[in-house]
Amino acid sequence: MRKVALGDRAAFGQLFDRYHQLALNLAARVLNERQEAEDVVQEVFLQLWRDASSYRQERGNLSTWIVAITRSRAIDKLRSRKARRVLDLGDNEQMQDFAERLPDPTERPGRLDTQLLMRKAFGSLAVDQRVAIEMAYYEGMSQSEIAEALREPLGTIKTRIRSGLLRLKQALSPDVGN
Amino acid sequence: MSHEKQFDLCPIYALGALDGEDLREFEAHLETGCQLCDQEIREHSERLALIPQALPNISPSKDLKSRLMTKLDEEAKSRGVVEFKPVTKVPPARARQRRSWLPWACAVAAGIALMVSLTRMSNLNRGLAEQHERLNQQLEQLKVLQKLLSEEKEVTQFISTPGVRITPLAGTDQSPQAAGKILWSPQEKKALFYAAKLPAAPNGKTYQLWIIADNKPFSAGVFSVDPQGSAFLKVPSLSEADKAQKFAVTLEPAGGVPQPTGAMHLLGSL
Repeated sequence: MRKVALGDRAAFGQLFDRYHQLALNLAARVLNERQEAEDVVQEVFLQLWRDASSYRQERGNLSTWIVAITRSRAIDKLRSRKARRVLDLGDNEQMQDFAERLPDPTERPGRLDTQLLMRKAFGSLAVDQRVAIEMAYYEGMSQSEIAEALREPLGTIKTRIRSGLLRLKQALSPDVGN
Repeated sequence: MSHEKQFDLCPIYALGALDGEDLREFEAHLETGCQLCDQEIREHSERLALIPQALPNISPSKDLKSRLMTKLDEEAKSRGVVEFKPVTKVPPARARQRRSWLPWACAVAAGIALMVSLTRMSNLNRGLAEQHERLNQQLEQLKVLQKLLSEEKEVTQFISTPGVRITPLAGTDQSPQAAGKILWSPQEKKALFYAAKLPAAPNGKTYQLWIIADNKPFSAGVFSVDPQGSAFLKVPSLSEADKAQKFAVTLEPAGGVPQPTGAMHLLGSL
């Protein structure tokens, strides 16, 4: 990132090679549309190019920063087109999104390990916890909006999110930062 | 609200789902400088950043990177050609006085910039040299093509001359793969000769074309072959053409000889 901050295009190209897939997967999951997702990826990397000098490693690793920017921009785009998809508890396909899609065996092993680990961790959550977390994470919905959409008391949603993320913490604790 | 209750909201805040009164109270709590909550939020954020790792890969468009780089160029142009980004904010005057390292840092930065420029210039020169070499190769190819085209034109014009005859020449035991053709005009006493798949002439040797008329050989000229064994020869004055019976090619000492002495490689009869 230091090189990118100095205007090194080759370093920027390497940064793109390393992280664009992660950003694209996330943007595509939020927007459910590839072209818009690619637009988001471009915006994210242009922002990285412009703001590289403001990146501070001690505030978090680079992939965390990229994921945060991508998620924020994708959700903004989602809101702007007012096409928010609300997960339906009866929609099995979306409910099983993480747990049941098989990983691509051609992917590099490191990514495959993380992918399997994350799927396992998500698989360990109760269905209602997972739904609430996904609604917030991918749809950008607040706790009140989730409560309204699911017709559940706000306190119940807060408990689900909190207990779900603590469960995730237990499942991932030895691997965070790897 | 107590610290414990605020602490319980850390995961929801990190997820970005906290809103309303909860959010206002929580942010007010953070402003008090609570290190525990700050640390808890950071840890949750790092875990949450792993969630997209579980997603299946979406194939990007092939030109995604090039489009991004084009945008980068456009942005640089719109801002002015050279973009310089300060890494640190300009310090206040007092602090600036204390920073005696600043001139050194500037010198190092200038040195790095110079090195980058020199490296780029070196790459540019290498690129130019490669382009120059490629251009020369293409010019050579162009010359070969122009020569072939010129020969083709000549043949076409010659064939259209009234009375032109064509005699094939076959390879002898010396060069069974070789073949040739002679186009000759008895009226104009001119000829064009083609040969293919002749072996390269050894050092000090050359091929020679003969016209056999009245059972006597007359030299029609010497020629060499290209790496593919092909040859093309124009015979501007073929005095014995009207009496020609045979055509032959022999391998002779360089410069040719008045009478054939070497091995015969091609032979054709009328």
